[in-house]
Amino acid sequence: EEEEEREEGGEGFQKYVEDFDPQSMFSSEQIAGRDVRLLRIKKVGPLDLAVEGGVDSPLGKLVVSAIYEGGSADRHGGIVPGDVVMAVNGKILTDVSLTEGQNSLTKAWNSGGDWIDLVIAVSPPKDYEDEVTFF
Amino acid sequence: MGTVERVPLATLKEFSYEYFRQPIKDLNRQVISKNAAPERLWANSREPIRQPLLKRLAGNPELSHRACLSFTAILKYMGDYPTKQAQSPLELTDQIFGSATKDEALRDEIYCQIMKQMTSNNNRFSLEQGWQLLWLCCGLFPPSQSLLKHTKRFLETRRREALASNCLQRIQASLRMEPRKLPPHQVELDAIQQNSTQIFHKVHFPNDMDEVFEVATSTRIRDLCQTISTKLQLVSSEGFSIFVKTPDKVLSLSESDYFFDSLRQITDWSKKVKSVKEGGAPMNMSYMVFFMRKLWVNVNPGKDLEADLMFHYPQELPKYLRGYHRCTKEDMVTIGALLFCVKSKNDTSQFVMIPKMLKDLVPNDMLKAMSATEWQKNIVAAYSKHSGMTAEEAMVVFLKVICRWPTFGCAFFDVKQTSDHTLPDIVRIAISKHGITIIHPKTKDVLATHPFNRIANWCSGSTYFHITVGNLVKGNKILCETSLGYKMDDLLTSYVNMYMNENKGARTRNQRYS
Repeated sequence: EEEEEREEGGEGFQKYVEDFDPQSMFSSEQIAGRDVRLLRIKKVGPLDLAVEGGVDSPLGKLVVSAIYEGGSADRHGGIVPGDVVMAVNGKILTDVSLTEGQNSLTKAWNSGGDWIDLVIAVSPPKDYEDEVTFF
Repeated sequence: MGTVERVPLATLKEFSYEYFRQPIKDLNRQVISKNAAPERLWANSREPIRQPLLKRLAGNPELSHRACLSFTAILKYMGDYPTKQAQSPLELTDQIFGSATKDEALRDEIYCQIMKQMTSNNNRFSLEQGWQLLWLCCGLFPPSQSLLKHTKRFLETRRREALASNCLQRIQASLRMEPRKLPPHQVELDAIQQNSTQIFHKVHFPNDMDEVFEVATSTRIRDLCQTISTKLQLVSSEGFSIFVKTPDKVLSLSESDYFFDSLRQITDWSKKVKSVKEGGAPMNMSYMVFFMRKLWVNVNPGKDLEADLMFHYPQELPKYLRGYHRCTKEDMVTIGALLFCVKSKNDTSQFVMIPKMLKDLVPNDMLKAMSATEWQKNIVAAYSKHSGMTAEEAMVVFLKVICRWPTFGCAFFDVKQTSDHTLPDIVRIAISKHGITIIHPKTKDVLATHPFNRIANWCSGSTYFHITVGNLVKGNKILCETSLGYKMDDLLTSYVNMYMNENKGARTRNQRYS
């Protein structure tokens, strides 16, 4: 069973939907020059994706804080901590609180269908080193 | 030969009449024999239980269920339950002690289950495994007052067994302190499985040395710091901390926590979260324990030679070589000569190697400030000025030079800030005893300085760090996108706590004299 999943992932499986036009869903302020992508994540087991922030937090937006190993988000592979969650299944999440955002994700995951559509703004690659700290 | 009076082994029989549920008559057995004895609930059995032993748990389905699961895990751990899939001993001890460390109501039940299985148990292997469980249990939490007497009797009448006295000592210690928050760590389990009641753990130092220290089930971080500083003969343990390095994080442990609770928390957490860098490779759950200086207060180079050589020099050197400090060309040449002295161990025949060693002698962003041969010429000239200096002396002089700079003893964080348009996108945030300094990462200009008493609040998440400077109403907010928010948050909190404790101390002193 495991094998089949992997192969499916390798072949006809897209990391993100190529012809997605973010302008159709968001204003240019909301996009703010970022790379906005539509991901179709297959529902296999739990999503295992944690978010933090929300409109009423210092962060002001919903940001992916962790991807747990082996969950659907991890298997999909196209989403990493730091990415901004913009929408799920067509519901825009740019102005929601953390609880609202988490509820929308859970609802989308538990509703019918084999996939969820997640729109994210990709966290830009870092051109500086920040991994090591010397105390 | 005098006859030694054999004390009968104490059991929970008497305790069970008052506190255990009613024994259940086994229906199957009744069919076979009409006068089957009722269950002896206090004695060893190879059957899983379907109800907890203690009657006070009976009304709680959730706790009852967990009590039954832990009993099955005890059977498995003691080798009394046939299983197709072998479970690791740690998985089993997690099932036995996990719920009880969270929920006080289950603690007596676990004590009773273990002692039950050790009563009338003629299987030597099973009994020895039982002793391991009881030993672990005694270190995690004590039994309640009503069970304490019986537990002590149980142990006192078994003093011939190797672990009995040690179990009694552990119960005495548990009674005096807070219970552990998490079940035993792999290291604790490994020790007792190898029949050792002493546990040793390797601790690494920033100078690439390491040493092994004894850590007990009840050792707190604060105790371990004290033990290490004493062993190393440091003048003071103030400002030092234990850090745990996992594949993707370096965490400073809180000084009031138990060592093994902290370790478990970190390794459990790292197991769950997928590391971005790991890229799908199986996660290696190795970790290293470090002892380092965390708070740079009262550091006067030359005052504590041991601390200078083991900590201050190896911790400050990489910051210097990364170019975190602003310094003059003269300073760089002087320091280049000192570092050459340390690296070459005063072997002047290595002068010719200087151009090749430059990245270990000069801040790496300044390598191009002169040609390699010019650096060499200047460093050789400076070296002749302090010839005859030993490598150790050179390390101390290096610290004496850099401790004059305002950025000495800072921890530096390069972060992306998104809130202040007057600041560059990428800024370097330095945290030290002076507060927070915002530095331009290229020019090294100081863009802002915020002493601790001007910082209204701060918070962090997995992807950000946020501070409010000034007052909360009209404050200046700085939002940084960084995965190192947890370190900045912890460091800031530690400095502020240190100052608050100092003030508290000062206030009580003043009150005494006023």
